[in-house]
Amino acid sequence: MLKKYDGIISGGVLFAIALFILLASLNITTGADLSVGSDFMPKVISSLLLICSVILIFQGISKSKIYKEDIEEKEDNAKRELDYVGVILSLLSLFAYMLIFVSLGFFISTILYLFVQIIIFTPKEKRKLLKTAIISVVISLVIYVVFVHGFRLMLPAGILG
Amino acid sequence: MFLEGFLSILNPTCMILIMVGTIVGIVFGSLPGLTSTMAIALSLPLTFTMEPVQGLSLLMGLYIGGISGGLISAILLKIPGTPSSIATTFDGGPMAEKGEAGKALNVGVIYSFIGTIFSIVILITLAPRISIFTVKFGPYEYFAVAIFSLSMVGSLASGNIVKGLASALLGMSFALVGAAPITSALRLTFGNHQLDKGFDMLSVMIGLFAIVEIFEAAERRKKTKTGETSSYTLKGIGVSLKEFKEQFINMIRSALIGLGIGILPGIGGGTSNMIAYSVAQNSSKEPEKFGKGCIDGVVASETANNASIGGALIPLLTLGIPGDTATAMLIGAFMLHGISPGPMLFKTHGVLVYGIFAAMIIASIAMLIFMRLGMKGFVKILSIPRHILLPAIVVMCIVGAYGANNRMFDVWAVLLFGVIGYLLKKVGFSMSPFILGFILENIVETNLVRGVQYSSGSITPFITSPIAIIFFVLTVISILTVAYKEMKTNKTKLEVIKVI
Repeated sequence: MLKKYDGIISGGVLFAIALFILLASLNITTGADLSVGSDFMPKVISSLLLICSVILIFQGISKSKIYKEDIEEKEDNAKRELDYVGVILSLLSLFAYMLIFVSLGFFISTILYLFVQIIIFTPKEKRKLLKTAIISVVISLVIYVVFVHGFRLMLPAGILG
Repeated sequence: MFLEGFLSILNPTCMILIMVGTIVGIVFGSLPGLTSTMAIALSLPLTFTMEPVQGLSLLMGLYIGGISGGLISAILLKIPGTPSSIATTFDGGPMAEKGEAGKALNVGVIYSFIGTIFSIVILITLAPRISIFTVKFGPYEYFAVAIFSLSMVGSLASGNIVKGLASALLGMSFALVGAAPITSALRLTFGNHQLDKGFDMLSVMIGLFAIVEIFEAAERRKKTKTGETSSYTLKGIGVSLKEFKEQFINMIRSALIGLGIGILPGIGGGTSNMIAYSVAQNSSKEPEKFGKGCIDGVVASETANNASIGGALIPLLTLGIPGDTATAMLIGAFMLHGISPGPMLFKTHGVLVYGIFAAMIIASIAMLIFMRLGMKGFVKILSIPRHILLPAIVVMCIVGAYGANNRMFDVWAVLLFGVIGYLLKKVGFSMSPFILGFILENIVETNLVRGVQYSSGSITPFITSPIAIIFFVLTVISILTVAYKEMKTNKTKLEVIKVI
């Protein structure tokens, strides 16, 4: 379904974004007497984007009319079986990881994230909780040592510091 | 003088520094969260106590290793180690998926070496003469070059030129966020001062590649097909004579592109690899094979990005103007030792300059040797199960993103661009125009504003400068070529449908 309407959807979203930027750029202070001020590029870029999005919508409309989901494609899609739940879970775990990164500190938050993310990726039958936990701790330790002591990068200590 | 310079680095300390620098550079280059610029920045304080020639030799090793190392993760993980290897993922990644990781790595390393040596030779022989020419590049010319680079997006976008343009414009829009060039007016920040500096290029790159990889791996998580890695045994040089002959024109052309873009201050390997790739695709007799795993793509990208190294040093050494971000750090190194790079450098510190050239040659050879030695180890990395490898890489990327400015904002930006990249891919947009737009927006706008300021409001110089005209014409040619090709493929598609 997405492939049929992708032109219209993407065109529509881009149109909204372009409009948003165009309207936001009306408020930009132009700066001292310049014919090409700070609002020039935003306006030009968003206007061009607006035009592109309209073209895309038209292209999308004509494409959706002649689009015939042939049998080959249906088979192909079924074979690929995209697991969007996995994507959502990964997104959420990344989000959570970033939330606790500073408060819990790099070390603990990384262990938690690695554990969760690896489990998300591992199919149910192959999941080994203890092994994954150990791997998570080891990787976090290695990264910590290499980056903080080796490269002298500063990472949040969180509750351990 | 060359002999003196060469002899100045032929002591054990210097040689060890070059080797260590190259190895560390390769490591930094191969880790997606770290870049060669960062490696140089972090090592600057270390060079304080060293002799100038030693310190600069170390930094040269870091620079060359850093740019070359990017191809490792680009090929093995489809995540560019540095912005200079973005285009290497386009064909290097598919090659690895087909089980040709070793070959891709080898090709990348060899042509990285060739690109570096080529640019070093030009640097040594022609630097002062080239600088006379590049001084003539003013804002009008830069504007034209940037617009020309943007027109390359037409070919980077698979198929639909409007989608490519839209993707590039979207990338440019994100680059608008923050303080405007020259006037410093805050744009699109909505009062959030974290946005004043705008988005970091590193966040964009990590988000668009590493995070999108995580999402795409999550899509396929039900299928645990471990990547087939045919254990790759090194046969001779790694590239057959036949292949070398086939790639010869590609090699020369990409090296020249890399050199040219490197010479222009402000644009470097990050841009040249994509432009060389798209030019190679456009000039090829079989453009469809690009993106599916052909060595042409890897050759173009890696030759160009390494050629930009020598190119970037030309303005640095002759005019004191950095050719790219890494050379900007190198200026700091020079100043640390009380040397100011510029027109007089060859006269006042001639031996040092030739010492640097010699160090670069040694570093290139070191890069070739070490990367070849490590080849088996690199390919072995692919045998680590992806469901462990990818999250670990993502953590390293996030560490790198956080470490750049020590704030969570850059990390959140990574997630933002990851989501954007994923959605863009879903609706059939390609990400390379986006990145190119993001990188080039600043150059386009700065030079536009400067140019208009110089000419007190008139835009005539933009169209009358001869160099600018050349690039504008090239822009038109490239857009027309892409549009023509697209029309042809659409026509053949229609004819095929009619036949059926």
